[in-house]
Formats: sequence, structure tokens, C-alpha cells
Amino acid sequence: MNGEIQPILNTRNVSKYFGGVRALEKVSIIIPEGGIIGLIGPNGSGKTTLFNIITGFHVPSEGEVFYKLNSKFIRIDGLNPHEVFRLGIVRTFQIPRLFPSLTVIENLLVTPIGQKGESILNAIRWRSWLEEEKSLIKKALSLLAKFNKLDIAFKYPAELSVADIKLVETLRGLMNPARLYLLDEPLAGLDLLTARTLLKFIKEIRDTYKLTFIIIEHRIDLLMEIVEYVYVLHNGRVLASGKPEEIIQNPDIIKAYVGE
Amino acid sequence: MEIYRVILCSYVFSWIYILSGLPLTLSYRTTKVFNFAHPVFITYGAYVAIIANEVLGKRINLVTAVLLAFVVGGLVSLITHLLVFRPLSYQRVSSNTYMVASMGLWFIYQYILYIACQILTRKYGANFLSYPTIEYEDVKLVQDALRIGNIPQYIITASLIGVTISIALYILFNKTVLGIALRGTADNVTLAAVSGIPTDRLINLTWFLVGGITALSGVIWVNFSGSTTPDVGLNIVVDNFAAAFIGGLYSLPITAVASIVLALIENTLLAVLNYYFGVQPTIRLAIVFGIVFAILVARPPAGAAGGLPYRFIKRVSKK
Amino acid sequence: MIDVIGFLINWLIYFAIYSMLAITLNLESGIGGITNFGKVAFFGLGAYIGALMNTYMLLAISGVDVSKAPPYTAEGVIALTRISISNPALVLGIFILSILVSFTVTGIFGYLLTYPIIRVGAGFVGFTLLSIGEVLRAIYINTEFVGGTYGMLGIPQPFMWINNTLLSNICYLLLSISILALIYIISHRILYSPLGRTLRSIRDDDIVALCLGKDVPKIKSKIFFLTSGLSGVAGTLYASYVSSVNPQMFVMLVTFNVWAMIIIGGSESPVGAVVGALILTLVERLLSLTASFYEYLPFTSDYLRPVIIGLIMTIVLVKYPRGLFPMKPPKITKSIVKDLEGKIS
Repeated sequence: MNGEIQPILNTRNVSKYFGGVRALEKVSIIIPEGGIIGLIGPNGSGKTTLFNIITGFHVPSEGEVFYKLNSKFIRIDGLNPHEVFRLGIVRTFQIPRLFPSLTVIENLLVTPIGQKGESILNAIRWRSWLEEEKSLIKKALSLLAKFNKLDIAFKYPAELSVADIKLVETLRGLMNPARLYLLDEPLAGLDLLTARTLLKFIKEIRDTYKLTFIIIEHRIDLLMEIVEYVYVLHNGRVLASGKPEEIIQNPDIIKAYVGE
Repeated sequence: MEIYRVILCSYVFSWIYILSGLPLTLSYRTTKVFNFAHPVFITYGAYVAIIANEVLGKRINLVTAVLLAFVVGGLVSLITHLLVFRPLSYQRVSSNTYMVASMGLWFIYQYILYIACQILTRKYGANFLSYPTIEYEDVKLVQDALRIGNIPQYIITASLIGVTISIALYILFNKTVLGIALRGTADNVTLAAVSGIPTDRLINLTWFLVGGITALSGVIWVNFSGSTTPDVGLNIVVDNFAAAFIGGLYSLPITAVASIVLALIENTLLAVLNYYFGVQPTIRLAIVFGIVFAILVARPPAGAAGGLPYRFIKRVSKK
Repeated sequence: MIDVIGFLINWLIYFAIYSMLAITLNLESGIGGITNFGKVAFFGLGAYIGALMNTYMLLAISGVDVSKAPPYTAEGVIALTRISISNPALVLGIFILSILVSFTVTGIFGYLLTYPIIRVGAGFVGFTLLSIGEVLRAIYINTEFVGGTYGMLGIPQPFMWINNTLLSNICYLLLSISILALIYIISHRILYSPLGRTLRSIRDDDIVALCLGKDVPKIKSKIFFLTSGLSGVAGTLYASYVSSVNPQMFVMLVTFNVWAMIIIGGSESPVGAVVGALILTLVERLLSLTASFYEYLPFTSDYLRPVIIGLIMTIVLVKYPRGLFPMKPPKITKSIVKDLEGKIS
């Protein structure tokens, strides 16, 4: 690594009010490019809302979100969710939302953007999208194979176990080459082996492709094995931030989780 | 231009729209699906009064009409729920399926009514497909007693039914345990169920009330309109949906206010257009629809289920 | 004696036209997630456009003064018949043009409609589209040059110049079936392509689809353009076949019948749509054939049909929500996977 670490995303004084409810207040975070950053905090502290704002699901009541694109910083708050996705920011959902009438492999195949077969004129001509489809299927299958889950490829979400649903939700997000991934509780409900495999996988593709991850998690023990920096949210504000070792020992944070 | 007539029409339409619109909002709040069979409750309410009128030899009391219409409307609604909506809900189908099913039901109910009208026309000789105004005997008695015979009867009828139901509903929902349980079930079935409330029975009751109250608007209608047709439900429900949309499919008070405002705007606009431009009342549908359209474009109601977080015009925070 | 061949041709033409409506309804509602309760609006619009072009334009180009003999009067009809028989090229030419215009205008109409309703939920979409159908009808009734309440007559069947009625009807049938085949293939190809997958994902959960980068409103609008346009084409074919249009032909019942077709047949696949159309058009044609047998009923048998169809539809919906011919998973994916299975893990 040479020189300073460049941020890929930062939020500046982002606040969000829903009616009278304050979900976020003056949240400023900096995400270094290529980093794996943790976002923790008790339930209701605003973590998912922050994700929603970064990805365009909500418009912040106050503040801005900046994203580095082609060596320039652009302001992305207020963009529509699909535009944010196309800038290379992917998010997964806390409660998995797979498409119920699509099989697992179809769920995985939906994600990649700009597929040739998605325009009406091309869709009608098989030949035009066949090659691209083949390579996408190959990618989806190898992704499943890494986790030894090839057998669920043709199952429907209704037939899957909770853990598998969770895994597919995360893998669906990973199908599209992007630069920044926002994973919302990717380990919830997974058995230990699968969880560790997923964490290892995240680290691998981060190293190979220089991706950036922001991970919301409650399983802090597992999370701390992989993150390099942590932000702690409480009641919509940044309570603390720092390296994992510092955070774990901070008494305020323990109180925030357990007390009150 | 007859301002007096516009005021009278606005008044009676307000009550009609309130009595048929509020149950629509309530129905959506409870079931989270659109019941396209809703117009049938209005129509059946009207035709119960008509049929009773004929059977009783063209002498009918408001009380009779109200009771019959309420029961019939309630039963039709309840049957709809028990036979169609509840089995569907057990299969966890998409909300589209409910809508399509309700549309199918509407056609069934509507055409059964057409058939009934044809049979009854032959039997009683009156034209059921375009039935003249019904006079309620007991209301006439009241009018004579209070010396208010020069006020059109439909004003009295609408006021009687409207005020009574409003008070009854207010007491029910705010002052009784049953009412509070109904509200709880309407808002959050799961929560109500785990709190020990017999949600199944309460939902049945809700459906019954929705159908019954809506039918009463039909009872008012036959007192007002010089020609009741089997399409009456359809004509009224357009405003119901409009008012319900404005109320975000959630707020009962806003739906009620919207109903009144719509009645006022509609009748005034129609009178103005007719008087100054000779435009026929058939344009009413286009006007109401135009209002709904304008609302949908300008500001989709908050409760408009399925709101996609898609903004056509980029919005950024102010600071 | 019953003219069996005539009946068959008549039924099959109806079947072809209604299949087009059913398949497009399938595509927009069953797969794309736009609950179109206003199908008849686009059908009717296409019919009226076809009617207008195949009468006014035909007359005008042939030099007839349209203001003296508008197509909805007896003089106009006589003039139309005379021209259609003597000038096949002109009639066919304008007919083809009317199909193209119908497709484009109805398509754009549908496309524009999606803008206000795309962000709101299914119920609003259904209600708005339902109302559009009724508003259009009110416009037809109040507009004089489309014949008002009485509508227009004498719309020439483009093969009228063939002296043999049977032959000209067979030609029309072949034309309709060809267009149906085209629509079927388009629909089938879209369904089993990545676009079909994206559409189904939007139908399942449009919010997640949006978050995964799909421009949901734009995709829905484009599909609706296609299906509305094709519905318009079906309308044009209908108007030229029955030689007339009037506002009573385009009531909500038509939309209901098409929905019944896809619910009974299967709301997700074009096959189901075609099967549903086959069954229902046959039932309808048979019933109208035997109409004389129902005279002893104290009511019009016309009223019984929606009740029966409604009952069947509701029962099928409750017992088989996906219809009798639900969509099968794409075979292409499975075959590609089988190819690759050896090469992975």
C-alpha cells in the first residue's frame, strides 16, 4: 500500500427524521477504499437507516453523502436506488427478501446489470443473449459451489432453510461486480462453518478485487475477526469509532448494548 | 343557477359518500387489499329497499329499510370474506389475486342482480332497472309532525341515518371494549391475536359492519334519486375510492372530510358546467377521475401501498 | 342446419383476437405485475382507431365528401361498400396502415398512462385503469364523428372484395392467426429470457428489484407500451371483422372475460392464456348459437354467462391460484446448467 488510504465513501452530518422520530443525527463516517468496516449498535440505533440513505432508499433530512467515482467525489444522496446500484454500491437486506417465484439460481441471475437480454428487442432474439447468460450461470454456480450449495440451485425460496435463504441473499448481492458492498447482518442465522466460510470469502474477494465492505452485524465476536475499523451507533448518533480492539474494551459501548 | 339545489345535493351526497367511503377505508385497513366488490354493497342496499317497497305494496318505513339493508349488506360482505377472501389468505397469495377475485365476485353479484331485476320486473310490473324515488312513510310522519314538509325528504333521511351511524360508530370505537378490540385487530392482526383477542370473529364482525353500513348509503340513495339503476354502486364507488385515496387508505377522519369536499366540488362544478356551458351530468365520472389522477400525480397518498422509493424529480436535503 | 364450417371460422377468429388480449394481459399482469383492470380501454381504442381510419380515410382518399356522407350514415356505408369491393389494393393498404397506427397510438397511450401510476400500489393501478376504460367510453358516447351512442357501421372487412364470403373469411382467419402466432412467439421469448426474469422479479418485489439496479418504472412502461399496442391491434382486427364499433361493445365485462381466460388457463404462461381463450370463446360462441333455446327463461341468457364464468373463475382462483397451466421454469437455464455441471466443483 502506498501513500494515504483514500476514502471511497463518506457521509457528512447526515440526519434523518421520520415525522417526529429522530432516526439519525449528524452522522459522519469515512469509509476507506478497500477496507472492511463494521457498523454496530443496539437495535434501533439507525444502522439500517444509514444504509437506506446511502443507497438512495431515503433522502436525508440533513447532510450529504459523497462517493468516489473515477477519482472524483460526487454527491449521491437523493439519487434513486437503482442509480446508486449502478454506481457500484450494492446492499443486502436484514430480513432476506428473495424473489419467491424465482428459483435460487434465477434469484442470483437477476442481479447483474446491463444484461443484453433485458431489452425487449434483444430478449426476442435468443442468440443475442445466450453467451452472456452462459457465463453468468457459470459464475452463479461457482459461487454456490464455494459454499457446497450446488444442490439448492433449482429450489424455490419457500423450500430453503433459513440459513440458506440468508446465504443466497448475500450471494445475490455479490453477483454483480461492484466497488462498495453494504451487508446488513450477513451472518445472522448461519451455522458457524458457513459463517466463517462467508467471512473468508469476503476477505478473499476484497483482496483480489480491491472491494470495500461495510458490515452491520450483531455477532460481534465473528465480526471482529475480519473488520479493520468499527463505527458504533447509538440512538442515531455515532457513539464511538476505532479499531476493533479498542471498541471491544470500551465500557460505554457495552453499556449501550446491555444497559438502558 | 339554483344554489339551493346545489347545497341540498352536496349535503345528501356528503352523507352517501361518507357512509360508503369510510367502510372502504376500514376494509382496506383490515385486509390490506382492495375489495372491488365494494360497490355491490351500495347497490344491494338500494335494491333491498326497492324490493321491500314492492313487496310491502309501495309502503315502506325507513326503519324497515335500514334494518333489512344493513343485514343483507352485512351478510353479503361476510359471505364474501368467508367463502373467498379467507380461503385465499390461507394460501398466502399475492394481493393481486385478491383484487382479481374481488373483481370476479363483483361481476357475479352484479349480474345476479340484473337477473333478479328482470324477473322482478315481470312479476311486479315496476321497472326495476330504473326505479323511481321511494318515499319512507315514517319519515313523512316525522316531517308532518315537525312541520318541515317543505324540506326534501332525502335531507331528513340522510341526516337521520348519517348522524345515528356516526354517533354509534364513535361510541363503538372509542368507548366500548369491543370497538377498541376491533381497532386493534384492524391495525395489527398478529399483535391482537397474541394479546388474546379472538381475531377471527372480530374480522368477521368487521366485514359484516363494512357491508352493512355501506348498504345504508343505498337506502339514502333511493330516497333521493328519481331513477335508481343497478349501476348505482359503480357511480358512487368512484368517489369512495377518491376519498379513500386522499385519506391515504388509513385515516377515517380525512376520508370523511374528503367525502364532503368531493361532494361539494362535484355538485358545484356540475351545476356550473351545466348552467353556463350546457355540459351534461354524464361528465361527472370524468371529473372525479380527473381529481383522482391529479392527486396520484402530484402527491401519491402516503398509505398508497407499494410506494416505490423512486423519485422522478431529484430531491436533496435542504442543508 | 347449422353451418359447421362457418361456425368454426367465426369461433376461431374470435379465439385469435381474444388470445391476443389474453396473452398481452398475461405479459403485463401475470409476469410484469401491472394489474390491468382496464384492458378493454386499449382494445376499444384500437378498435375505434381502426374504424376511423378504415372508413374516413378510405372515403376521403376515394374522393367522397366526408362531411356530406359521414361513415355512420346510410350514404356513407353504401359508399364504403362500393369502394371496398372495387379497390382491393386501397382497402388492404389502409387496413395494414391502420394496424400500424393502432399499435403505435395505443402503445403510446399506454406508455403515458404508466407515469402517474407507476409509483403507487397495485390497487390504485387497477382502479385507475378501470376508470380509464369508462372515461374513454364516455368520450366515445359524446363525440359525434365517431358515431356517438350508435357508433359506426360498415367498416370494410379487408378481404371483402373476394367474391366468396367463405374464402374472404378464411383469409381473415389466416391473417388473425398469423398475428396471433407472432404475438405468442414474442411473449414466449420474452418470458423465458433475462427480461422475463427481471419482469418476474419486479412483479415479486419491485422495491428490491429497484435496489438491485433495475429501473422499474422504465421497464414497466416499455412493457406496457408493447402490450397496449398489441391490444390495440387486436381491437382493429375486431372492428374490421364485426364491421362496426359502438360504445356498448367496450364495457368492463370484456376486461373481466379476458381476466377469466388467464385465470382459468394460467396467469403466467402464454400457453395458459391461449387455452383459457380457447375454452371461453368456445363456450361463448356455443351459447350464442343456442340462444334460442333459452327463451323460456324469465331473463336474458346474456346475464347468466358472467355469473357462470365468474363462479368458475373464482373457484379456479381459490383452488388453483396459478391456473391450470402454470409457468414452468425456463428450460434454457436447466440445459446450460447440465452442460456446465461437469465443469464445476
